[in-house]
Amino acid sequence: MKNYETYQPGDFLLDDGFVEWIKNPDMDNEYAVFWNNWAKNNPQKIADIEAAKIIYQTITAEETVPLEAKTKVWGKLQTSIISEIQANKTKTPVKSIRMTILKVAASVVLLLGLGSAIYFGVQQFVNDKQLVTVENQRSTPSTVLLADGSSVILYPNSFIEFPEIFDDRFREVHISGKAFFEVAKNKEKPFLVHSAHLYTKVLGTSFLVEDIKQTSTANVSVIEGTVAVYSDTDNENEIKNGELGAEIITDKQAVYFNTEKAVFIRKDFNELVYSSFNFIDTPVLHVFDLFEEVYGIKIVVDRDVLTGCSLNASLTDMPFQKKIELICKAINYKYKFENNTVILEGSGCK
Amino acid sequence: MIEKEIWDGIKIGDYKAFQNLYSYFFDQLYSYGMKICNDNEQVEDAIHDLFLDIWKYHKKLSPTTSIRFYLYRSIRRKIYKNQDRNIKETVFEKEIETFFEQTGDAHDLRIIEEESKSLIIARLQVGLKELPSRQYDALVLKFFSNFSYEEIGNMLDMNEQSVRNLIQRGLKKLRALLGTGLLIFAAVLIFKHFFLI
Repeated sequence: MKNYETYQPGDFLLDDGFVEWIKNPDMDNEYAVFWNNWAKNNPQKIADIEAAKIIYQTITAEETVPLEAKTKVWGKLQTSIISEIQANKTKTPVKSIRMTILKVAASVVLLLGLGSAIYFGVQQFVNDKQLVTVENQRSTPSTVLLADGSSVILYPNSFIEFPEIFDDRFREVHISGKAFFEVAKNKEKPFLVHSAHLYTKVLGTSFLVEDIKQTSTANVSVIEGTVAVYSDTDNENEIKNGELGAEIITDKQAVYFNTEKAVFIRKDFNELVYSSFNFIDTPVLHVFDLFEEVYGIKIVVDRDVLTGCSLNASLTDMPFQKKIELICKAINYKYKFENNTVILEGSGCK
Repeated sequence: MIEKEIWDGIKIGDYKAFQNLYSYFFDQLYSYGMKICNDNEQVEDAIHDLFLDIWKYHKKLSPTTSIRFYLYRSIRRKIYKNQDRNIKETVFEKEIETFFEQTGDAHDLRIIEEESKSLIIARLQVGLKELPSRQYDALVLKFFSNFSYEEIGNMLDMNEQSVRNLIQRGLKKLRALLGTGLLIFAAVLIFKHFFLI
């Protein structure tokens, strides 16, 4: 037993048992029993004990963490990480920018990221079914804007096919390869993605589909919202009528479909860097740079007057068009989509 | 939380694990940061820089037995790197001497009578912040953040016994700071103890 009677002021807190006791004075443990008893028998030490308690309380006083600090710092962190990734990307010169358009129905869709105006407004090769096919043969992503207000980022070596006008009940598209969807919300008309091995059905959400015929795993990953995934061995009509059970995946989840065994495997979705569009005090020009990078769309704007303007907005889970619309509302700008570019007009953010 | 899993996840670039790490540790790192620098912006910047580094160099992260220890040590370095600590420290050492001399004299009876626990705490808070920075650091790491003497020694680059001495000196100064004010306070307690029960 230590000789506590000779303890100097300040020594008490060096005793871990003593600290345990003042942390939980009402607990019924060995420390509490001992020290309660000791304090009673050594009233001459009460000042030192009280001093130790107060010193302990002062050192351990909680600091208040502002409620918004966590999200604020996270937002900044996301922005930094994204610009870090951009900075690290070796700036390889864009080789031949070519996007093959098999059939185009220009009256209802705007095709972006094409690199040339030639393709825009062409109305040839529209077949009987009025299907439009866009293939991305570039080495960087490009974006297709659909008539219903949804946007699709089409990654290299991928194609998408969709009707000139969606039918009354469904918004149905076919893809092969990798595509990121930000679907305009419409509860009346489900959005249905048919890929090599899967059907993915949603009402409005953002998700990634990666599926080609030759692959042994197909993958659907959800950023926000909920999607239903079916194997393509399922009956299409039953899927459309909602009669079938599906793999339901929600926020930040993914399913991998083993095409040989026809089984679904669930995983957490970790490819979130590009998919978070939460901006906190982010320079507007920085946001535009990010959009150009992610969507492969050129943004034409007088950059000088926007220097020093920043944006606070959560733009995750909405189509590209909607993002531009909201930013323009925030900084009081006008916008129009033209070929592979968005043109913004306004007079700064003052 | 399984520390190893999270750390390994981050090492292979699992963004979700990274997010979990941030989410789990943000509050305690923030509050520790506020303890040692008391400036929201500096603390936020330090946390931001720390996590940016983690993600930036995630492939090169070395295996760690304690993520918590690693994070605290890093945040501490980040914050101190942003302050010119050395200059400040020497100034502090001088200030503290005069501070203690003054408080000794300033104790006239008039004040003592009005002294309450909250006043004592307020005075302690000032005194605490004015301690030589290494003493203050060690006290916070020991009592606020519950690190072991060994871990604290590791962070402060000194052996365990020196850490104990440092903490002892810090506590002694704080105790001296309370002076007679506390004795009066204690006397009231004793009085209550013997006559009011």
